[in-house]
Amino acid sequence: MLSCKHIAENATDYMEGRMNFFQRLKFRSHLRACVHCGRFLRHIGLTCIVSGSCTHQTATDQEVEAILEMVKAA
Amino acid sequence: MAAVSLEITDEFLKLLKAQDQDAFSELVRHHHRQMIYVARGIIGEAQAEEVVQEAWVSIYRNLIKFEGRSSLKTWMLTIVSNGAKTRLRKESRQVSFADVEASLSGLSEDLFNPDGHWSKPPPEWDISSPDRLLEESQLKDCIEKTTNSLPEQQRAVFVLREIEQQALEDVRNILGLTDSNVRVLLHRARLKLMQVIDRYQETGSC
Repeated sequence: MLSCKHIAENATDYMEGRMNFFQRLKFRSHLRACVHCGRFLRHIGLTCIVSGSCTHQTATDQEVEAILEMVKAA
Repeated sequence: MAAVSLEITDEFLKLLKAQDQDAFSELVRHHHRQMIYVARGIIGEAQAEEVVQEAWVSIYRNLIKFEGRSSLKTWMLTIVSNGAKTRLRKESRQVSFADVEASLSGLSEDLFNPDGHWSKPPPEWDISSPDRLLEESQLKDCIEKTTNSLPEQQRAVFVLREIEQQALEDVRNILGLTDSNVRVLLHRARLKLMQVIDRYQETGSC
């Protein structure tokens, strides 16, 4: 059986579908048996949703203005 | 400043192709920061702004030729990326992957026993739904600050994957990284941000 450390280190590969069938099977069987790793995966998933939703940054008016002036001058 | 992402409709694209100033301003407003992050991830802080400025000129001039074979966002990010890589080649510089190579996982060793099982299991989160987490304005500030303080390549990968929703293959191509480097950088960024939420759940602050 995979170790919890292996699960934590490879969580992104699992989430991104970067594992073959057998790797995925072993990963899932650990998750079924380990409440802590299940929680770890859930927390990483939540982190992706929340951080992706609250960090879309827009440029300031000054930055937009500077780019527009440069584009017009070019 | 955090905001919702810009929807590129056919009508908006027509305005952009007609070089409508307001439409172009909106495009700049919503994508300039992300383009800066991408350029920094390739060429570093010092020349990123210049590369992005040149990219905006190129985008403005070439929008009329945009055929929609990829999304507008991917097309723009590729222009920035190509500009940064060209500049890098001219200077015969290599970017440092020290950050990728230093540690594979970014996880503290003391979280695990020698047999690889948790010694400090992840604590249960009191606030555990995305909508409730997003209601916490202080947490949102913490996440934004942490994202901004990530090492440049980590931030570029994170922004492209989590915010711009680019496929891993596109992230790899845009930044000129290997598949495994992208996965390691993304994983480490996610872990750092997860630790921010962990701390917030425990202490109520960053």
